[in-house]
Amino acid sequence: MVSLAQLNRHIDDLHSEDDTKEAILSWLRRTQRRVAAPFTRAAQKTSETLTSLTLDRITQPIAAGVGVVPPTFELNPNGTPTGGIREELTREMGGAGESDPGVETPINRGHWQREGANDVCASAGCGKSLGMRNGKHNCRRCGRLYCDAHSSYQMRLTTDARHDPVNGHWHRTCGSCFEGRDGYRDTSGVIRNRTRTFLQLRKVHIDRLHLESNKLEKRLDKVNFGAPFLGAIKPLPIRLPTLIYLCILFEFAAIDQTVVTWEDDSSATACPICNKGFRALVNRKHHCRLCGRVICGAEECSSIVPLHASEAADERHPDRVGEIRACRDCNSIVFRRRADRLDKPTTSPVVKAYQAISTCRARVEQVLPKFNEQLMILSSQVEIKLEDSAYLLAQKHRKSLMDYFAELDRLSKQIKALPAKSSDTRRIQENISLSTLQFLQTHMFTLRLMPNAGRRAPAPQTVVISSSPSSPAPPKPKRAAEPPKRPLSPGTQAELDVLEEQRRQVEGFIDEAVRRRKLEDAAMLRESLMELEDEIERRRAGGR
Amino acid sequence: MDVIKSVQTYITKMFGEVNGMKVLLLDADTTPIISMVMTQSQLLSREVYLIDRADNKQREKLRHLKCICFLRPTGESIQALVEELREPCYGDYYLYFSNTLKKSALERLAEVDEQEVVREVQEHYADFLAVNPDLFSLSLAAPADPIFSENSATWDTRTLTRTAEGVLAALLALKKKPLVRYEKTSVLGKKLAAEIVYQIQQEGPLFDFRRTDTPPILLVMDRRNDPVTPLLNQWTYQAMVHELIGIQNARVDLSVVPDVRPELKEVVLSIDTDPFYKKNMFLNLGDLGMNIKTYVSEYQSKHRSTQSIESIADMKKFVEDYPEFRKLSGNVTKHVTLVGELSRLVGKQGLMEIGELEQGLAVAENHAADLKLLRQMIERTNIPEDSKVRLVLLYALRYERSQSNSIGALKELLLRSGVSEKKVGLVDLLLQYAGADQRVEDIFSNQDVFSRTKKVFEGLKGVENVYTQHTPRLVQVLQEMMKGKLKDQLYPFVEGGTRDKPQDIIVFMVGGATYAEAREVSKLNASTPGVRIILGGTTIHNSASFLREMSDSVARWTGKSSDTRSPLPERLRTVRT
Repeated sequence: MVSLAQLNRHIDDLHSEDDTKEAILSWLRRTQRRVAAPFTRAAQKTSETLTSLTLDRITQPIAAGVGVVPPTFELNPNGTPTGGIREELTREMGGAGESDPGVETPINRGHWQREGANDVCASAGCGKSLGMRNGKHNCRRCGRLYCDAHSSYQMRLTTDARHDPVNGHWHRTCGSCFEGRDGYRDTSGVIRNRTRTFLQLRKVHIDRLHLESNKLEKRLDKVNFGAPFLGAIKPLPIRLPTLIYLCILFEFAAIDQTVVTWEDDSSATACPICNKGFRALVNRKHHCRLCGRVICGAEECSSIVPLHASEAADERHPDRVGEIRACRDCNSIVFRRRADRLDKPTTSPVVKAYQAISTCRARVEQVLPKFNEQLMILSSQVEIKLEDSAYLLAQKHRKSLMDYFAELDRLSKQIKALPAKSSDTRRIQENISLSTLQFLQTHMFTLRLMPNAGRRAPAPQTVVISSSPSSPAPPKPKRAAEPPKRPLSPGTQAELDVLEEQRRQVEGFIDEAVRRRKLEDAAMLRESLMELEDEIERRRAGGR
Repeated sequence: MDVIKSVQTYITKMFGEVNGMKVLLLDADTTPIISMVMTQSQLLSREVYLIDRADNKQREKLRHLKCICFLRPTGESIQALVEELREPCYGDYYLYFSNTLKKSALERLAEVDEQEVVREVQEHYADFLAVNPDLFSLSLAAPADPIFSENSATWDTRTLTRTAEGVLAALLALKKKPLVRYEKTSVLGKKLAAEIVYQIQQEGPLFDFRRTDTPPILLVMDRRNDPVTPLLNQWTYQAMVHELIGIQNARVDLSVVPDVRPELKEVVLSIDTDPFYKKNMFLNLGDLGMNIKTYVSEYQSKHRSTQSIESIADMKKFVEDYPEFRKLSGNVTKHVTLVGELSRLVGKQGLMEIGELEQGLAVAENHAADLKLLRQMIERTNIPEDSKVRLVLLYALRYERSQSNSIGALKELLLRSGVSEKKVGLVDLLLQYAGADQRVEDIFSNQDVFSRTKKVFEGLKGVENVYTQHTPRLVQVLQEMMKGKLKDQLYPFVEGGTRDKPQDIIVFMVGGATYAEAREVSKLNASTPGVRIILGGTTIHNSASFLREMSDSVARWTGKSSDTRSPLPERLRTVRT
């Protein structure tokens, strides 16, 4: 019989690779070589590895040991733990399995879970029995036993089974160790905070600005000092001869000039702000009284600034004592602080109402978990008595929650009804009311889980309480028709509260439905609303 | 690694720092970024009551609001912000930029903030559109953002910058400092890879992450190496909607659908808020049909229970379920409309037959039969022109090198059947754009004996579904990479290298990814424990947008394109004569 090697040689010599059959053969040959190669190498290594074999490795039964990765067989040491052909071959080769573990970098096995007869995979929800079929592997890190699929992860571990991405060697681990590495599930990306640089840059600029503005404010004060006289002269009933008037004006110009040296008229050819050239009549020259530059009189370059008796006085004080011309730059600098003051947020009714909403929300978020906790306690009891402390406490929380919800609803309606000056304000108000509605929808449903005293509580397992908006609404305990009216006021009152609450909610839904043009929904809801109102009426009558 | 979660975390952090009533200012780039991952009501629950564009000049002064600006640091946005800060409309400003802010821009902002309204300046690198948890797009497509400038080896400078910034942002958002690999034949890929490595080195401290067991890999690929995938009709939900109707920023325009209800003119397909979509986005039309049936009946049973409101208890139950019910009702109508429209289009355009031939052309060598079928298809009148052209394109790609191909004859046939010359011209353009000379590997496995044999063996595995036989080339590349067998010669590293099998892979497709590839990536993610893959692309193509991009690109090259030597016209001439 020809050996495979002989056949190979024959093929190499006589058949060139030009037809498909030939190609298949060459492929087979290459595969065969690939499969066989590790074993020749393994044979060479067997002697070395046998010597390095330690006792605890032998305790590892072969049945479980076959799955142990022989990493050096792979080009790449972190090969997915071998399954398939190589492992089967290893098993066929019998003793070879024993020598394999020797090539894995040594790792501490003290923490490994001892193998028993009926091991199951430690992965949550897997529970496969471990053995030949499903494999049986210790996670090298946590030491627990896993099946093939749940231990097919690789990470770098040190010899004492700690995770070390730099100096560790590749080892088989379980999914939870793999994913439990620091930062593996991290979804927060990098954030670079540039605030400090920004503030530093701004500070330099602002400091300069402060200096400038102080200087200009001083000048303004000085100009101001002269202005009242001029202001007094102007409205004088007697018509002063023009010449005298001009003289006085000229005099004051002189005062102004003591404040700041005026730029020479003749040297200025164009306005430094708009760059338009000066002309004798069309574009006249003016002096900024604060910086002394020559500027043009165009609206965007300079303006007449009203002067008040004192800058510290009430800014809305109507007494104007005079006016000066100031260029745009000076104007913005010197009045920066005042503009700041004027712009301060006024306490608009929206802000006030919104603050109230925020506090209400915060309270709800405080009380609701307490209430839910009591509910949990109640739902675990079979019989609920009226004087039960948990029941009373729950009742109390519920009452306060109801108050908050009612308040929220009122506030949201109030905000919506506020007059809006512009489309932006309107949008804000609508959005606030919408979000309050959302808040109510997501937080109100547990209120209805309140069991009635004296009645059998619903089976505990049906009640899942969650206040997070994302979680689906929990299954509601089934309640048949409302219990018969009780003459006692707390019960009736509570029921009325519930009904009122629902009515409000349904009204909200109707608005919403109409807005979204879902008219059939709205019609259905309206019907229900009427029903609800009837019910409330009946109860009111009964209560009294 | 979940790009949607990453972007959401960024946004949550932005809003988390500020209490009270907020206004959100966005620009043209950041608006889609936010709208892809957040709904209006999620924003409302974070106290954002007003959303506006930063460059809107008609905003009202509302000093009691706090302003959050999320902007891409482009020249226009900075300018808009400068003007805003000069005359601030709102009380406090919290500035968040979606990418690195230049020092000069920061200085400019500091200078105009004379009223000291800015409280915070941060960079949050959410500078990409998170489409799926493992798919992101930069939304850069020709003609608005062309990839090429004057020839096939030159990037358009602006697009290159934007692309590099986008990829870097994705890396920062995912906290990865990868080794970068690229396809050897792709000049553009090499350029981008080098640019990214350079930028990572420039921004050293930003990329200072915890050491990982094995470095993550960023693989830059080129669409031109796989022109087949975007040309095929798709049969899975997400890909099909994009191919037949079109998904733009997670929104689907249904206004062309006959008898559509007014509120369904535009629908949103969001994985985050639509559990049905999340569950079914990768299913093929058949399975989807089944699921939608159960979905509808589930809805109907709920609906019936709500219809019979007789007692107050029913009423209460209804009110309790109402928000959920309403959500469900909207969702059911949406998906029924969508799937209805899909199956209508499939029927109307004869897509089943076309799809079969397409798949045949894409996966198997069968010249005579293919040609015969193709001729029949072209002569039929109920098949849309575009489909005919696409079939010829696929034929041309497969049999480009075959001696006996009849590309010329098919083109003439197309012309005779009334297809415009411009569309027929696409055939030549495509071969110029992504013909065999341009591609790195033999995607059809028909050029040498070895690959043919491999094909034979693969063929033995059997075919599951005749419409989904073709697997994108990306899959093969990724599988080899996961085994650590991707050849260094064909996919060189820009710097460094590793022999380890990668655990985190980010693939970026220059020239646009497809939803078909996204599906494969998601499948690989689910089936390979310990490996996480994210796919990105300059855009997400369907066949129409791919052909648009392609013809635009080739039009840019021609005239100056000396390097794209194409032996093709010569050969075509000989074929014709």
